[in-house]
Amino acid sequence: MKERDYKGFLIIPALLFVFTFYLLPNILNFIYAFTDWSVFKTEINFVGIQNFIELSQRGEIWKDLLITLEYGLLVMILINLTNLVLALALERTCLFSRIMRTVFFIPVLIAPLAAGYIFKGFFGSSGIVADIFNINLLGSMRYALFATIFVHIWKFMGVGLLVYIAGLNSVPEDLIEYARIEGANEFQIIKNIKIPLIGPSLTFNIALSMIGGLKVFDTVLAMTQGGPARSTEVLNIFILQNFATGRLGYTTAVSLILFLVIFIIAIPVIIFLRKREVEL
Amino acid sequence: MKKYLIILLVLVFSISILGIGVGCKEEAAPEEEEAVEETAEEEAPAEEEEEAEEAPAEEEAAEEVSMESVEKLTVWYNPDAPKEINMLADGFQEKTGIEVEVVTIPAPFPSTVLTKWAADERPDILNWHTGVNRLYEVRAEETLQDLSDMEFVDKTLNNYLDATSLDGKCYGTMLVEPVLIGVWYNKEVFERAGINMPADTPVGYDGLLELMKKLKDAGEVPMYSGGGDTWTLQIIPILMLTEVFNNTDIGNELNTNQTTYTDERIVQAFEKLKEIHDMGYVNDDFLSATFVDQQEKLWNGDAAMVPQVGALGNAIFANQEGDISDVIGYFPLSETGNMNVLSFSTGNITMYAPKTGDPAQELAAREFIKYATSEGYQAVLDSTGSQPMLEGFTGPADRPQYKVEAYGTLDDYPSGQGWNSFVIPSYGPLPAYLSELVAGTKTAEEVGAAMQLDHEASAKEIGLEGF
Repeated sequence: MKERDYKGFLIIPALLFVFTFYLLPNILNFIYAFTDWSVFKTEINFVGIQNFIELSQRGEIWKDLLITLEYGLLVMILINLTNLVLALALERTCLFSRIMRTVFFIPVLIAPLAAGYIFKGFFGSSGIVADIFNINLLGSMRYALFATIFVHIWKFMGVGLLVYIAGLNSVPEDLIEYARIEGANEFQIIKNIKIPLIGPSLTFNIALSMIGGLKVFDTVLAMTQGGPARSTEVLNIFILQNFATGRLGYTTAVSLILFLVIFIIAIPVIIFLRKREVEL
Repeated sequence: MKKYLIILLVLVFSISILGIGVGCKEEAAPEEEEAVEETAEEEAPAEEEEEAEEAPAEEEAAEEVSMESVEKLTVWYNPDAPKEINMLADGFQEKTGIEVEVVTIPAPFPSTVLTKWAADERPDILNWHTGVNRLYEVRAEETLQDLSDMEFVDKTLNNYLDATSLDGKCYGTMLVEPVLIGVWYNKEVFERAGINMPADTPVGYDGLLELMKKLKDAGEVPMYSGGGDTWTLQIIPILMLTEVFNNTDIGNELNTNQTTYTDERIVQAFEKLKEIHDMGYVNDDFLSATFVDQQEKLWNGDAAMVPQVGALGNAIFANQEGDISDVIGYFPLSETGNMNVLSFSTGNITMYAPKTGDPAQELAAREFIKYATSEGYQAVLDSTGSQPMLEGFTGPADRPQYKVEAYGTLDDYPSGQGWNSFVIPSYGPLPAYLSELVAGTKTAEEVGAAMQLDHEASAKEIGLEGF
């Protein structure tokens, strides 16, 4: 056998790994959603779309789906706006900029549950926010979701910030110089040169932040457990609650819905953003 | 090269599928054995006398099995349950040379265990909840060893074994006394409001309302609600449902679809929870306050009462120095009287012996339970400070006074099990429904209706008659 033929066989272990731990769980997620898999039974039977019919009839999932979409959308918009502004401010490499980048990146290293519990202390009824502003954010059905979104942004913004800074640093300096010579002001340079040229960073950050927002679980679990009165109950919390009832097939159907929602939203957004990217 | 790659991919796919298939087969093997046993049992004459004759033969067969080959027993344990299990593990290892590994199952404990159960994973000893519904969840008859012939069964006091029994068979044992569910109160706050206990102990819900009005008029927060930890909202409904579930056949009616969760006898409990919140008898931040807040506010005298499980008293005791009974008291409460609710859970160091398919391991598991309920038991009592659950043992002489007072109410008032231990199917995420109830986004009837939908779906899955 020729040398190049051996190379093909060398990927067998890796392929096995990918299939068993990446592909198979996803395939099973599709399959189990159409079964009556339950802790009460020994057999698993196909029930068609029965789980989905029951879910839609119950109606609770629509409310949770809306909350999840609201969460994902707000996270995506706010985290990217904040990151863009910060990236433009910290674009230059100097000591202050380096320190600030580190400061913004530190929360990324904290476990989401820990972050949730820390902010639960800040925002709760006996926390500092309640003491100063006399408002219990986590006890308010109106503000609790925003409080969890704030923590999500605080926790994950460091990654996107570095991506934007890297993108901005790759914009050719001479282009900006030309623009300045032509009389463009800073706002015009940002709007007409920098933003269009960091297209790939925008695509990456927008897609990633939206998917992260739609998949949120741990920060919400730590801060509100879906409360008060289910006002922050995102789909993953709904899954957790229903999983404990032992109806595993029914619950898996919810996770399939979440997967499809992310897929349906994320793919067109990525395609749209990719088309708008400017090639240098 | 292309040809090789295609062959390679097909090979990888086939091996993976084969691997999964083999895994399933290996796991299915014990089930197949059980199926054979079940078939044999079905073929055998059904008369009780003949079944009784078969029992000694089975015992003889069991005696032939030896523990010699057993090196290790695995225990699945709830992280919140008492740590005295380690004491038993060490004692058993010293006695038999068999290592006992206590594996702490991460939270959420019930769903993690059930997921493993669904994947046919079994430990040798399982620390699991009690009650008919919880035994159905693990399909007790099929997956757990019947321990009815063990010594501890006859020695168990009161009617405690009901909690680990199903259809007349005992599947588990408990080592620590049941937890009480009732109302914990701050004695100093009551005194400030001119309430003299135990003479003024409220009788039933009406009595509680009167008491709360008196406390509110005196400028106190009558009750501290911890809706941020939604499970705490279940306590008032538990108290208000104890009488009807223990004194009537409503549990069986639910299990056989003769009544529903929208039954007025059930809905009243949710209405009462709502009423307490609507009348301003609880703290303003009830939607975000937590179980820990409940402990702090009660201890500090910021609230007069907290309806809670015994864990509240234990937590306060653990965080304070010395006797807490000067400040904290307890009284039972139910819909029309003062029935105590006994809660049996994993915290009682419950132990079940799953069928693992290995006779030697199963025998060793029974030996471990035997050790824990005989020579190893007194040390558990001494360490936990619990009253004995079995005859022939003594509780500690220096029990904390708050416990003496709380458990003393068992002598003065009747007691019963929590309502949910009478119901077989699951009833959905009740804490979430109750948080909507107190926030005003669901009515009491809607809570009942939502539970009923989950109840029916679950009953159909279990295959209960009438659904």
